[in-house]
Amino acid sequence: MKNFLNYLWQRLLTFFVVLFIGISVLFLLPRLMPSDPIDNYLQRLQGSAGQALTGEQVAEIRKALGEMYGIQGSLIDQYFGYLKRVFVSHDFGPSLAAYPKPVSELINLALPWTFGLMLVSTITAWLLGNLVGLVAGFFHNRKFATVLETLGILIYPIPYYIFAFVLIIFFAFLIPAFPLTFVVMPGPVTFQKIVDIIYNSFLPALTLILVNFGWNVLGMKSLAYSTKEEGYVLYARLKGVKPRRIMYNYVARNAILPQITSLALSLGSIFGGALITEMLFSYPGIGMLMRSAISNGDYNLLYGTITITIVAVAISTLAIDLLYPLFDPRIRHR
Amino acid sequence: MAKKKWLAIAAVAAMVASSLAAQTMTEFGTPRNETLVVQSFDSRSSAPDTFNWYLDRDLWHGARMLCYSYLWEMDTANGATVNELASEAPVLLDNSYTKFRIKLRPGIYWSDGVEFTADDIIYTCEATRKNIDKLPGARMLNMAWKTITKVDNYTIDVVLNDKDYYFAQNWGVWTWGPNMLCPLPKHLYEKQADISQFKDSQPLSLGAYTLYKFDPNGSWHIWKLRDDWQRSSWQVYKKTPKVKYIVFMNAGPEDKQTLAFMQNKLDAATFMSWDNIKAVQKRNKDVKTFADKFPYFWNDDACAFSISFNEQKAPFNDKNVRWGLALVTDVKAVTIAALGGAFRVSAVPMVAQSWMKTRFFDPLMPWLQDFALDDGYKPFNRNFPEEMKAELAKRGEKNLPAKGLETDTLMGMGWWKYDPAEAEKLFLKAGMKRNADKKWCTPDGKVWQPVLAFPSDWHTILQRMGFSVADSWKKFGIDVIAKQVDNAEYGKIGNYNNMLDAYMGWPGGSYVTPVQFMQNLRQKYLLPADSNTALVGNLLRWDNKEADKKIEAMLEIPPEKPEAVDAQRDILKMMISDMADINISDIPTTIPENWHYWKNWPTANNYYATPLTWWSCFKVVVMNLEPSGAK
Amino acid sequence: MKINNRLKIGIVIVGLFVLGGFILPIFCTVDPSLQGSYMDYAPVSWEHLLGTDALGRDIGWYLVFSIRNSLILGVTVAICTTAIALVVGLSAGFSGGRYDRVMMMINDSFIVIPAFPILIILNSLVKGHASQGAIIAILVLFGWAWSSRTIRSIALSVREREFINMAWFSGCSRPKIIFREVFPHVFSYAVVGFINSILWAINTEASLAVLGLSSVERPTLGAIVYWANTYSAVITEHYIWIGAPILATVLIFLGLFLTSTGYNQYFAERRGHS
Repeated sequence: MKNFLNYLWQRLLTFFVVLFIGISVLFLLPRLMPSDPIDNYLQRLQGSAGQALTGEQVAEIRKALGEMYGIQGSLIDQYFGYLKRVFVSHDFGPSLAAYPKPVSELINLALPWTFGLMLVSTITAWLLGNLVGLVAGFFHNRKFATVLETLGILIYPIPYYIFAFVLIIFFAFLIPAFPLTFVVMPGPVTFQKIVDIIYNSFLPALTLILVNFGWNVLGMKSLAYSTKEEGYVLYARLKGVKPRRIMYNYVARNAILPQITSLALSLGSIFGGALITEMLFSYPGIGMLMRSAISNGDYNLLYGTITITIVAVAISTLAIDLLYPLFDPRIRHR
Repeated sequence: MAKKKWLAIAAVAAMVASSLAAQTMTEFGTPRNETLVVQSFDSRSSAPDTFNWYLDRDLWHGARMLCYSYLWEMDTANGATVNELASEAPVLLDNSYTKFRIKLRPGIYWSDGVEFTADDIIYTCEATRKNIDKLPGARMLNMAWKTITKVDNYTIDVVLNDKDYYFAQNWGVWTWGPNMLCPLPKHLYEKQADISQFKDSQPLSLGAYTLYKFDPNGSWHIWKLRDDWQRSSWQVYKKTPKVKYIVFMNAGPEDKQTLAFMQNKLDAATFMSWDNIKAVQKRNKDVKTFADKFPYFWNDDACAFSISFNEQKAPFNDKNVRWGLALVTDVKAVTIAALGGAFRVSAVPMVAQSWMKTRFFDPLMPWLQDFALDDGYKPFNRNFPEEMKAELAKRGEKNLPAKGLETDTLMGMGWWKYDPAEAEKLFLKAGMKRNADKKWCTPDGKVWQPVLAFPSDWHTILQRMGFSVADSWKKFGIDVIAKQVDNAEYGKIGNYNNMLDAYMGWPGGSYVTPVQFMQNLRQKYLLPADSNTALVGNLLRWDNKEADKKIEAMLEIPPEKPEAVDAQRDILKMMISDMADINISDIPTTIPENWHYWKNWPTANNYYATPLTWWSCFKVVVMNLEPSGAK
Repeated sequence: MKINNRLKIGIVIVGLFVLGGFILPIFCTVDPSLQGSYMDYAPVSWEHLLGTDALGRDIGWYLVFSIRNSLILGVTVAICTTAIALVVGLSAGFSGGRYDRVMMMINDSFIVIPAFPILIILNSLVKGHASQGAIIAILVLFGWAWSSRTIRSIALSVREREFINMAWFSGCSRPKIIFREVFPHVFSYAVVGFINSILWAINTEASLAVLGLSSVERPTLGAIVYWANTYSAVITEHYIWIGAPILATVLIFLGLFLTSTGYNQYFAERRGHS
């Protein structure tokens, strides 16, 4: 126990250091980026007012916007202000491309969508992939597993955009079983709305599951393969333990650790959204938000979206380190 | 188990889909034959619930075309100003062009039944001035006016800070939308504690449509025809809008839009590549473009594509280099690679909108044909469109325009010769040398590696043109670096013009008159060649003192005088002699329109308005659409 | 001992791609990346085995060069990332203690920081002219951290096993134990990770190209997919253009996968298991 506490506080320390590094790099990112909110605003203005602006007007607008957006102070002041926002007030201020809408409002609208889609598809792909990989690695002559394995291996290398688009052509165009574009009416949650959401999200989720499942198959298969040659597996076999039991209790439990690790990391990074899925399916989510924050030079929105990811990934790395002994009791913290 | 559940859901889903299909309803629950579905210009809106015009509001999802209304709208088919909220053109109160009288049309009502009057305009000016530090969009308006007074309910006098020859356009609409003034409903806004925090999510409308429903995530907005639309500002057009619902939506990337067109789920798109349009037309004969004859697309956009340089940076500061590059730009290959050659090319650095032809292009033609470089070489190729047609005919294009006026109007009046031999001479004259590998080197002997920047995937036509221009320069032995840039960085490249050497873009626009473009080319806006701050004008960094004087003089002449146009022509000649900007063509607007549910879209034979869905004048198209009778 | 079919097929596929990719370019006379060398969209013929693309480039030759360039890129990136991941993951997991925590702090920082904005900054710094070497460096930088963490988790478990203690007691040095005793346990997983990194590098290079970090004018498998996609090859039914690079990628991946699993199986059979 003392060992564990000792480990815990040291591990928490590194957690905060990682968080601090991540957040600090994030602060510097947009300052080095080749775009800023003022140029972006002027570009949008030129889309509506054209070059009817004289140079003097442009100069004045630049100055006024700099003050309004609060990006005039020294870098150090801004940095501390930003740290305060992340750790104390949890408020990222107004979006600079949708001024004065608060960043938190934009994120709150997109986050549930991202979370739902990514959580379901990540976990499904992981379960399915590992099961298939395990069976394929353990009994390498099961037809069912070999078929699924081959499917995973063949789909996995196809660029996601193309694969998803072909799926859309098949299931939303040739056989129009699913909608072409994502349309869910706003309003209170009713049974009808839940059905709508599932119906609209099915295809995006399916594409994500199919492309992610291949890697889990591959990884698990190789792990199962090397684990089943361990002495204790051979011993169990000689002892007459049923193969199915060997597979689950001996092989899977011993091989699962790296897979748990990558599941945890994937779960942490789901807050980054799925940009191409969101673009292709017009699915609402964080990915597009982050993308437009980058291309609009919207510092505050960028901070808001990426901070969530940084915190989530850092937490997931912390969590797996603490949970390892649960999955493999041999592991001791030291 | 999980699998069975999915199958069940899929089956239910399929049933829902098929039942919808039987009734031909849209995904939004409106009858398809009463609904117009339009792809939005910016795909997803970042502020879908904000319609306060002076904040960062939704820009492209319908409000500007259907809901807001302006003092003066523009007939973009011929550049004429149309009185909308105003009952007549602005009245000049003296010769200084700083005092104007605005007369409003009585009998226009907001969608809540309150009449629109002079108070709304005055309130808009005064309230935005009070909150100017918190309203990003209020700056321009409030830089313009000095005093504003109510004469009566329908008459307003305005005094400006500076003279304005284009009052109707500045206070109304410049080509694509309002420039600085968008009237706010006084009776709604004055009740707000702080208008800079007021989103106006259910905007009162002066136009014929009101907001019906929208997606809080910004993918779509649905607008509904007002019951009392006859009392809206659209009454002045004397047409009956027949579309009940208008949806502005993001149908996804171009490939997805293509599928939506094939399924008749989309009625109009923004820019779409010709390859995709052809693919749609193969499966859906109802989808058409602006003309049934080459170049098939509408070419009267307000901006022109060109290659611009940082002209303060060596070797681009030498006009011989700029001319050399123009002569090795294989525009035939460039236009074919980008859009099957469907361009109206223009050697003159301005937009070749059709109503500009008689004012600028015809008068400049004799001069262009005689124009010679310093060594006596005549670079202009009047025959370019004919050569282009021959090349296209070879590729199987059958619907080419007839020789003469038709070709001139549709495909332009010529471009520069493609002549690497002359370019070689010009480069050598500029002190450039070829090395052993035949690559061009700057005078100091280093291999010349100019960077040519152009948009990445967000603007595919310019992207394709960029790669193709780089390809033609490479074939001449220039080790050019083709650089695709993202949206925001692209804006900065244009505004700074110090990071890279050359970029493809649309710096030249004319918007009814080239004055705006020209006034920005003055010397006073020049910064040092490597300045690391934004330029506020002269984005080309064109350094020509003589032209500067000419522009200053031109700005003093009221635009309606013929001397003004003469001066503008002279400035264009100076730009050409200097090759200040390699102008390529007008922007071809490749909009597919679906005639399945709605007919009478604007076409070349029935050119009643521009076919664009994202300019404010889209309202004219909406009024002219007729149901086709399809269920 | 009989060589199993998986291994045979795998070796044949990989062999064909490597030989084809490295020998065929010698016979090419026209730079395949130049536009307008031929008529655009020429059909399949003896002259153009896979036809030409929208910009008048021969798809077949472009593909051959792409396979070579992508293999060089993918394999180099995979070797570097796998090596770093193995060294960091194994040493940290095996050693534990402060060393582990410092290494994981660095490791996690790389996992936590999002790559996309950094790539945009790099893009503006290199002005669209990153060399092949720079691209490899970028991919390695963003490619190692994830797999090093999974490898570490294996090492964490292995270090508690009996035979490790045995090795300690018999006086082996730490590097020797890691290499001799721990490494075999991660070997087959690392091989899969290696194959995965090749694929990841090939596909990511294409997305870097969209950002302008990598030049799409240099033929790579990613570049063909990129061009075909820009010209909507799926919708416009130019299936060879879009299909050829994807088929090549799938085959390379399949070849490598069959080789590795076939090899595992071959060894297992030799040792008499299963």
